[in-house]
Amino acid sequence: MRNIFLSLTLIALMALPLTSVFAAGEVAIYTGITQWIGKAAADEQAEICVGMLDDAGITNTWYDSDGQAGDLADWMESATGNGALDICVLYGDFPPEIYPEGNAQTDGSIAETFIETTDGDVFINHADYMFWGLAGRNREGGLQNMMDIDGIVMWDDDTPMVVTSEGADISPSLTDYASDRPFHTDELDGDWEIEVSLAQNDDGTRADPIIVRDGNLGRLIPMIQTNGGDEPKGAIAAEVITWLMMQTPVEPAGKLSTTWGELKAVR
Amino acid sequence: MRFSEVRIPRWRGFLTSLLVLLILMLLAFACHERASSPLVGTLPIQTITTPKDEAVMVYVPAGEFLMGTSDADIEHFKEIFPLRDIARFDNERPQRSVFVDAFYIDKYEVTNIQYKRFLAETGYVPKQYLDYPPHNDPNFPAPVLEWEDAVAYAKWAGKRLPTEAEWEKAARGTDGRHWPWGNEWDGTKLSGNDGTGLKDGYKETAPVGQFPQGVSPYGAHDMAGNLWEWVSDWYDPNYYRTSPPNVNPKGPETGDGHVLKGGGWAENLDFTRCANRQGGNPGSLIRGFRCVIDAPPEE
Repeated sequence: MRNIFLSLTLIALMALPLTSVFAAGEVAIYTGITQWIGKAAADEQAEICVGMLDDAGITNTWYDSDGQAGDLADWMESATGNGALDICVLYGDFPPEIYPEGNAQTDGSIAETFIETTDGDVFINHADYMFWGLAGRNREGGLQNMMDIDGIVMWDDDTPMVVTSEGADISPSLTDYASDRPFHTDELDGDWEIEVSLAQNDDGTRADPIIVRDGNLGRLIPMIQTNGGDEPKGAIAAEVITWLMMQTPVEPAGKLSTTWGELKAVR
Repeated sequence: MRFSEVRIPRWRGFLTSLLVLLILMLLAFACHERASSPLVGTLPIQTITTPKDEAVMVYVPAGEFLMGTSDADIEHFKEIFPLRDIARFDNERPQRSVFVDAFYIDKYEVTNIQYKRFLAETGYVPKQYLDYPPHNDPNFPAPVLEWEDAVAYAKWAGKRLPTEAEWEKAARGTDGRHWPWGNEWDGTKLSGNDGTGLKDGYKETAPVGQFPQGVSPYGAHDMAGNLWEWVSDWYDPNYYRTSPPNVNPKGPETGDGHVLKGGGWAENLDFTRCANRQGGNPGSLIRGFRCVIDAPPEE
């Protein structure tokens, strides 16, 4: 009887991390329109990200045409409040199909609703001011409305970002660099809090990448918000997504499939 | 002793005259240098005021200057931008000597009061003009986000946008300096970003001409910071490597958007360098412009 109890406990303990795997949802990557980063460069990074997610067994869809913003909106509505952790990756643009342009819908947009459930859903943004939108259709208001924080901004450039120990564990591809539009941690308000700062400046007032979470609701992840440069945005995104889905550190990019191979063997 | 007996020997008189002449020549030479030196921004600057837009313009003489970024600069950048990928500076290389004819350039960025006068007189409807706070006070630079809207203003004023070469010469003079005031970064000399956002006293842009200590060698203000500035050239990141003309270059025939220069109020060391050039999708760069006219040949 005691052995049976121990076995059941062991099985339950082994099942715990697998539960989070099964609770993981899907990833949508949108490069139909990009902002500040060229589309070709964004597609190149997205392709790397897709490859690594495929290797990790994470379901993903890449919307690479501007005509697919409506499909992205459909995906987002279906992923909202579905009990799974879903992640949308943007490259600077914020399609009007999910957030009406000019901040016309300050509350209740498809995008905002996406991050306002206990699923913990996520927006990742690369390469420019988060939610700025093509040609500045939202400007600072995009981020401020999405976070419901008046006055929060992402200005700065040449800001040194030094990888934290957590950042190094989560994303081995992340190295020290200079961010052009880092997140201002000293402007967080309400229930928003830092979940993990992966790279930050000396006093921690600026960070990029960083995972911030709205209490037990959704998350935002500004990630390598630079103009140009060769930072491996796609690989870093894949590593952070994998960590979020797994809630466990991963191996460097080249070893991801090995790690998942071992996990699959356990399963 | 008779007067005739105390006369100065002829050879001493000749020496005295020579000395006086030498002193006068030295004085004249010194004055000439002070008046014409292109590298000292506090000295007399030749200006005109154009009637249509009532803009003060400063004179930039004909001649050569160093355009772009040299290998030595790159070594310096490794120290001041240790976290930047050096490949980031490839679009500024190689540095070359470029000749441009004499021209006048607006002393300040085109302001809202000037741009609104243009809109009122012509009925022109800009594609993207940020006519709202905190950018739209009369003496603030006009945030004209689209290149075509800047060109339309320039035509109305009887002017044109500067070429990238003209803009860069007006900003850095002839000696290849990094910023309009020299080679050392100084965040007090521009409407720029110090990491806290309010060091210069302005939330975002500043009224034009508020940072005279950062004036360019020819007397142009705000060539670093405040608003990014449109120039007439198309943007091609590889243009400098194609051995372009070194006399009055006008940029490639076509490209990925138009070149932006000078950095903006949100920027810091790197983007505000005179040689920095941005093209393609300008992203969250807030941009404006200033204009030029050709100077008469005799100047």
